Amino acid sequence: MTNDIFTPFQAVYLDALKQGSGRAADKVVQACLDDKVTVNDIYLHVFQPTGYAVGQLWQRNEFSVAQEHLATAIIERQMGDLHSLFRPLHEKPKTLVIGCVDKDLHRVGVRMVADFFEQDGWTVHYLGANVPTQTFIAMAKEMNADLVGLAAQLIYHLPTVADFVRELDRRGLGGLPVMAGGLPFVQQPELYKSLGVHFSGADAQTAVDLANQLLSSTGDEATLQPGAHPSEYT
Amino acid sequence: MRRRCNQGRILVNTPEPGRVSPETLAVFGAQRTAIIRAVIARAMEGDDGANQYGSQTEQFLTVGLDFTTQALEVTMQLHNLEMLDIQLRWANERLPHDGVQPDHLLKRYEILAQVVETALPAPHAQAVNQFVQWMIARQRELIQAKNT
Repeated sequence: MTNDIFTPFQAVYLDALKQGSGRAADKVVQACLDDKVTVNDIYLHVFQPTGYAVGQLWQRNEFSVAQEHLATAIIERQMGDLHSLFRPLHEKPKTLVIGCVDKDLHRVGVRMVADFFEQDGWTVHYLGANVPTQTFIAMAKEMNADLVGLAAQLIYHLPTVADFVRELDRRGLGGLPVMAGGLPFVQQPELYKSLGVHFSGADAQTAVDLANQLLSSTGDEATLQPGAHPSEYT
Repeated sequence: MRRRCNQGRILVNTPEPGRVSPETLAVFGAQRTAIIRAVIARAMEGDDGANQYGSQTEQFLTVGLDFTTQALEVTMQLHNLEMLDIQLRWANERLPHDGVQPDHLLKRYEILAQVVETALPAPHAQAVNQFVQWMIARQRELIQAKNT
């Protein structure tokens, strides 16, 4: 389906959030499902662009902080409702540990990514918002993660991404692939290279595709090419 | 020297800042809170709109300058001017709704440059102020673009 097909759904969905109406938003999601729109497309073409639009509305002072939080809560609640539809068709022997870096509270985007990986058959440990680096890494080690996913939505969370990579190195886990996401990485697609992570994707499906591409040679970590090591600039 | 950044647009008529050493970053990080306090003190002495918030002035300015200096610090770490430009454009769109006008931002950046000059040892001050001067030049450009 081309993106144009989703535009009317997304427009009505945004109107529902402007009204602060979870019920109206539910009707849009139900209409999508009735129209055979996949949950993936609902995430990518309704929820994600609406989330960005809500942020823009706040920036232009057309939404209050409370309205923004209400809209985010509605989207997050609906993601919970739709989660069962992300049932994987097959399992992959791959494990992802994913969450927001320390102090970052913006968890909706990273939860979308977690759901897509789950559907792709990965075992996913979604840690949510504001995960301290030490415990994040401990979880990755305990779960034998094949990939770590970090979300950083504001630029002052970016040093935490670099610190995370350095801490992995310090603990002898430097070979563990790391992906990163969040608005700064969407605004600057090459940003990941300067933080020592392996890749970033502009959306959940791209993240899954890149992860599978990078990890297709199982155990051959030499094929992975992370960005510049953060120690090169600090 | 003119430079290009961000989708090929000419941004500012000022030299591109060079890379900042880890030592300068460490000195700036250690002095950041003191620099913020000094900028607030000078801003409140002047007539740049800083006093319009009454009893909350100091708190509001602290939040704003904390964000500004953190953005500056990350920009210097990553040597990423496009990131700084994104933040400046964001500030110029959002902050007028909170009563902070683009002219106010410019004056505070100018004060920031003055404070950095006196608060840090000369080589570090010079390195940091390359970026602050870039911010000032870009802010002037954004104000000019808004007024034309």
